[in-house]
Amino acid sequence: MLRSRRIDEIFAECLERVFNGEAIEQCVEKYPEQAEELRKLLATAVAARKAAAVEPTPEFRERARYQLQAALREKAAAKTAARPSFSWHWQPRWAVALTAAVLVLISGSGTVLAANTSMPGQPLYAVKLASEKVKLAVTTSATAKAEVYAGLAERRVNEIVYLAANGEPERIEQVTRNLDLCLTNISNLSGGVGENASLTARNADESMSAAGTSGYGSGEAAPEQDLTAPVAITVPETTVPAPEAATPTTIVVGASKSLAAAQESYVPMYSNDVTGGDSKLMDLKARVYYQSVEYPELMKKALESADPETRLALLEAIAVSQTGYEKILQALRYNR
Amino acid sequence: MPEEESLVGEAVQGNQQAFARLYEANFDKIYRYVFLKIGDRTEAEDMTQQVFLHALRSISSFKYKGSPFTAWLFRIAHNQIVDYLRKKTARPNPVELDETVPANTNDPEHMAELKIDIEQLRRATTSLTKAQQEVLSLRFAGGLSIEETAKAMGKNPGAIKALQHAAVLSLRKILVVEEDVEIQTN
Repeated sequence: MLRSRRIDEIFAECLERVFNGEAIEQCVEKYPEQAEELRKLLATAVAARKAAAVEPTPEFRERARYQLQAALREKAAAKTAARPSFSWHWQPRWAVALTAAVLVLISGSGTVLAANTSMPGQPLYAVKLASEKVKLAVTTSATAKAEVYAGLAERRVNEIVYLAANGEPERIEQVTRNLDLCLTNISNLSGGVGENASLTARNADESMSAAGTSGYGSGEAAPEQDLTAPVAITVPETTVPAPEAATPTTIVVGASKSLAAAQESYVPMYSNDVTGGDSKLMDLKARVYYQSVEYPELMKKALESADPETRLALLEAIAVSQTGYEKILQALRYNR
Repeated sequence: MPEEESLVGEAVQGNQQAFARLYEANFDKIYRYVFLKIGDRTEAEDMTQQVFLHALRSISSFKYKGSPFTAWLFRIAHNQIVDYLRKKTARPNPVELDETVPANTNDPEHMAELKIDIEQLRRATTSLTKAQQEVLSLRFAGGLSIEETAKAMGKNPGAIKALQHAAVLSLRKILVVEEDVEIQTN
């Protein structure tokens, strides 16, 4: 029995070493008396382990991930529904906006400051959006308003990256619509500096108001790009239905060439763009240029670890940002 | 294990990202364990999904009672397999090998004397005792350590080592006999 127990221990030790990459011969060297027996046992164990190392098919892996994501969303939704009745989500929009307006006017308000870092789905997010509206409402000049929108675009991109890390494709879609509105408004305001500034600024406010506080307006999807080498991503139908039925989807992502062209032809403020004009406009141009380079890349990085549904939503967000910044740069290029 | 403990703690609190990471870390292991036990790819896929959905439903009540999360997961899988086998009366379908992706075995240094496929292994393990089968499934398919296997089976590590040795010894005898028979018929 002693020898039998001893061989158990030796075999277990050698097996661990072999599984960690050591050669069988290297392991049995230490136990010359049991070498022959060990050699056969280890060879059998290695063969068995290799035979057992079957891989799930890629299709099953993807299908299983979809199901898990759906189950996680369902669980999160059930948890939200069970929350205590008071929540910013359930207050009428005007009440949230009025509260935010009052809080914004009281400088250093802890609630508004806390809301600034809140993310979609969190309790203070509605306050964050409402305070943004208030800020827009009190900003009158086109350039200043465009600056505010640039700041909001930064927030939306950060929210998208956060949501991507949490695997929330539906919220990404909502935030992308809001981002689209921000970028469109910057473009419109950039093209409307001067006599039409007030009109353009007012129009921009109205479109943001239409987007609402907790929800978002029916922003149009980014148009397809007319590119020489678009990248098409096709998602096949799955046999296991997700909460939203999966249908074949083709998203054309590109715009990098058009955006790159717009960036190249864009004259940054620190080269020839010295007209002695509006310094705020020059700041805006520099800021937008920086955003056009950084933000699509930031979202592209998030693609690396995203699940398939989130990937689709992210790709849409990237396309929207590329198109949006391209238009802004074009508008600003001609605006001196 | 501290990393797993921390992830599990967060998952118990409702952190979806933490649960998703636990899922990714254990998905392949559970699939292989289930597949080796029941031998049917479609059933193994369904069962693997059910294991994780069950774990998600019950995660908030999980407590570390000296037993790691992985062991809990494999216990869920084991119970599901027991239920499945109880209901199943017909002989399992043979493995559709071309629909299962084998792992890369291109390593001359570790080339085994015996070459067996998953179906041969599964067939051979049916001749072992239940405890020996369980040790092989957890260790070789599930990739669990001796300690993790001990926790999953509710035994001490010494007993697992003994079972492992006995299982591999018996497995070799069965497989060598099979190989001899194959050579003779060819």
